[in-house]
Amino acid sequence: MSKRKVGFPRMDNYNIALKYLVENGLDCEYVMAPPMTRKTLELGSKYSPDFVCAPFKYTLGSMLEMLQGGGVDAIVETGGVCRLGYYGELQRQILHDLGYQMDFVNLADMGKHKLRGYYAAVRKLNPQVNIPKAVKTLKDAVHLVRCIDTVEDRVRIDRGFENQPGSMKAIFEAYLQELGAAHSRREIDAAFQKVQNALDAVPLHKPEHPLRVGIVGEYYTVMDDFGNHNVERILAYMGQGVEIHRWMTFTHRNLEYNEQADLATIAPYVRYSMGPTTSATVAAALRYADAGFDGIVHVKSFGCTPEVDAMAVLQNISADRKIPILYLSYDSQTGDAGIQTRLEAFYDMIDMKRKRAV
Amino acid sequence: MKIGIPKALYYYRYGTLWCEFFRALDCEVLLSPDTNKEFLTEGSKLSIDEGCLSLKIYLGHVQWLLKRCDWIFVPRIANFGWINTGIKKICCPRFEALHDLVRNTFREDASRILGCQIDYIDVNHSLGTRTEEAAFLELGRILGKSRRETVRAFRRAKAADQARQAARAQAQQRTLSGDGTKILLAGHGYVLHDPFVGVPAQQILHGLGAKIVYSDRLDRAACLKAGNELSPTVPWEVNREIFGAVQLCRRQVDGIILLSAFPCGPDSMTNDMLVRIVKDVPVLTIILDNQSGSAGLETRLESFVDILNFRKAACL
Repeated sequence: MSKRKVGFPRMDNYNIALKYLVENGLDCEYVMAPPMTRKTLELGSKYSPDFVCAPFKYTLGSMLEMLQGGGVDAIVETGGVCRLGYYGELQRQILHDLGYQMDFVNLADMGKHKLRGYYAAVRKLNPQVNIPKAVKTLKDAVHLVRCIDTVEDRVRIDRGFENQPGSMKAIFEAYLQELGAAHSRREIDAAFQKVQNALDAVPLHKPEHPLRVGIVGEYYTVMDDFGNHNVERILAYMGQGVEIHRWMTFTHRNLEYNEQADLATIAPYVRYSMGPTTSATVAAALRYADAGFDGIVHVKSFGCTPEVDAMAVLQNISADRKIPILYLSYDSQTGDAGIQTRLEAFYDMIDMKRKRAV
Repeated sequence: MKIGIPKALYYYRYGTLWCEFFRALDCEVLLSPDTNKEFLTEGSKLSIDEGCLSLKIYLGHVQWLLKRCDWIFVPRIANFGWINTGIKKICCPRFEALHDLVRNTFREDASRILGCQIDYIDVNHSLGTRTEEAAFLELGRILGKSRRETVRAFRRAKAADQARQAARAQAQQRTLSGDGTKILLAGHGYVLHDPFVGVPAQQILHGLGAKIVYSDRLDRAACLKAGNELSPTVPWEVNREIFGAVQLCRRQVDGIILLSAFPCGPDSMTNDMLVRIVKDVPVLTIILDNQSGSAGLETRLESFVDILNFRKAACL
C-alpha cells in the first residue's frame, strides 16, 4: 500500500517540524504547502466569510493551493483558544461545499480529551502507526521547533548590522533546507551546530547602543513573515540598522508559557487574564519598555478581539513609559507600500527621539 | 451605596440576575437609560476603532454611569465549563477582557469599577477556577456583606432569573405554535434587544405583520443541546444557542434572520456556517454598524418578508 499524503496549512517555518513528524513518526508522505503568495490570499478570501480574521483566509488559501496541486489524502487543521478553535469545522465545510473529497482531521474535535483525540487523529492518518515511535518522533519535532526559534531569534537581533545585507537570511534558509531533509535527532543537532557556527562567522558592524524595537501581537500574524508583510526584516534594515526582539514564538507560547508570571508583572495595569494572548502581549510590551527599548510594534489581523482589547492597555503603557507604539492591523487588502511607509515614519520618529535624548 | 449597571452587552443576558442580587443585598441599583445616538458617539471616542459596535455602546453607558454612581459593575466572564462532548463553553474573549478593558479606558476611575470573575475552566491552569456562585461570593465580600447574606441573595437572584427565563420561553412557544408569518430573529441578546441596534429592525418586522421568535429567549438548555447537531465544535455558548435555536425552530418558522453587530468575531464565522448548512428555510444575514439611516434595512426586511409571504402562499 502506498503511503498516505498528509498536508497542513502553511505557517511560517513550522511546517518543517510537521514534515519531520509526519514522515518519520507517522510514516505518511508530507505534502508541503506552497509558500504563501498574493494568490494564496486571494484564493482564501474568495471562499471565506468577509470579516473573519485574516489567518483564516491565509490558511484556507493554503489548503486550496495544496488541493489544487492534487494528490492530497488528508488535511489537518489545529485548534486554538480564540476563533482558531472554529477554523477547522468551517474550513472543512467550505472545502466540502467546493467538492473536495479528502479526509479532514480537525484537532479541535477532541475538545478536552486531548490524548485520546490525538491518538484518534493519528490512527485516522495511519491505522498501522507505531505509537512509541510516533511519540519519540514528536519529542524530536518539538526539539526541532526549539532549534528553529533559537536560531531565528539570533537572526532577528543581528541581521540589521550585517556587512553584507542578507547574509544571515541566506544562512537561515540553507539551515531550513537542511532541516527539511533531516531524519534523526543527531541530524537536527548537527544542523543546529553548523548554523550557529555559520552565524558566528558573519561579520557585523553593530554600534554599542543600537536602536531596539520589540514586536508584539497576535499569534499567527506576528509569527508569519508573509502575513505581516515582513515587518521584522524591513525594520531591521532601516537607517543604521535596528535590533528586533520578539517574544511570541511557538516555543515560548506553547511549550514554556506561564501566564501567572506574566500576570504578576502586569498587575499594575491588568487584574485578570484578558484572553488568549493578551497577557503575553502586554507583559512583553512592559518588559521592552522597562528595558529601555526605543519602540514597540503591535501586529495583529483586523478585528482580532483579544489583541484589540490589549490595545487599551498598551496605550496606557505607551503614555506612562514614554515609549512609542506603532499599531499595525492586517486584512486581506493590506498592501506592502502602506506598511513600508508607516515603518519608515516610525523609524524616523524613534531615531529622532534617540538623537534628541543624546 | 449606589451601583451602576450599564444597560448594554450582557445586561441583556444576566440583567435580572445582577439587579436582583444587588437589591437583595440592600444596594441601590442604577441602570443606564436606553442606548441613544450619544452613547454611541461618546463610546466610539473612547474605544479602539476596531472594537465592535456593541463595545462602543457599552463604553458610552459606563461613562454616563460614572458621573452618577459609587461603583460600576463590570464582571469578567470567561467561560462556563465544558459541554459533555468535551468542547468548551466560552464567551467571546471580549467578556474575558471587559473588566480590565474598562479599567484601562477609564483610568482615573479604575478603583470604582466593581468586578468578579467567572471562569470554570482556567484555560492556562494557573489562575484558579471560579464558578458563578464563587464569583458572586467574591462580590459580597467586596461589598462588605456576610457570606450568609450573600448566598441568600445569590439564590434569590438566581431563582428570579430562572423564573423570568421560563416565562419568556413559554411566550416564545406560544408564538411558535401560533399563526402568521413567523421569523426567527437570531443573534446576541445585546444586538437583538438594544433599542438603538436591533429594536428598529424588530419594529420594521412588526410593521410588516411578521411574528418574531428570539433566539435568546428560547429554553437555553434545550438550545445548547440542539446546537450540537448542527455544529459540534462551536465554542461560544451564545452562538451554540443560536445554532440550537435554528435547529429547534426551522420547521416551525418561515424564515430566519441573523442579526449581527460589525465586526463580531464569533458571528463572522457562525453566520457563514449557518448559511452553508441550513437549506430548507430562507436565511437573511444583516450586519449592523454605526452608520445611521434605516432605508437600506427597511428595504431588505421588506423584500425578505415579501418572499416569505409568497412562499407561504405558494405552499398553501
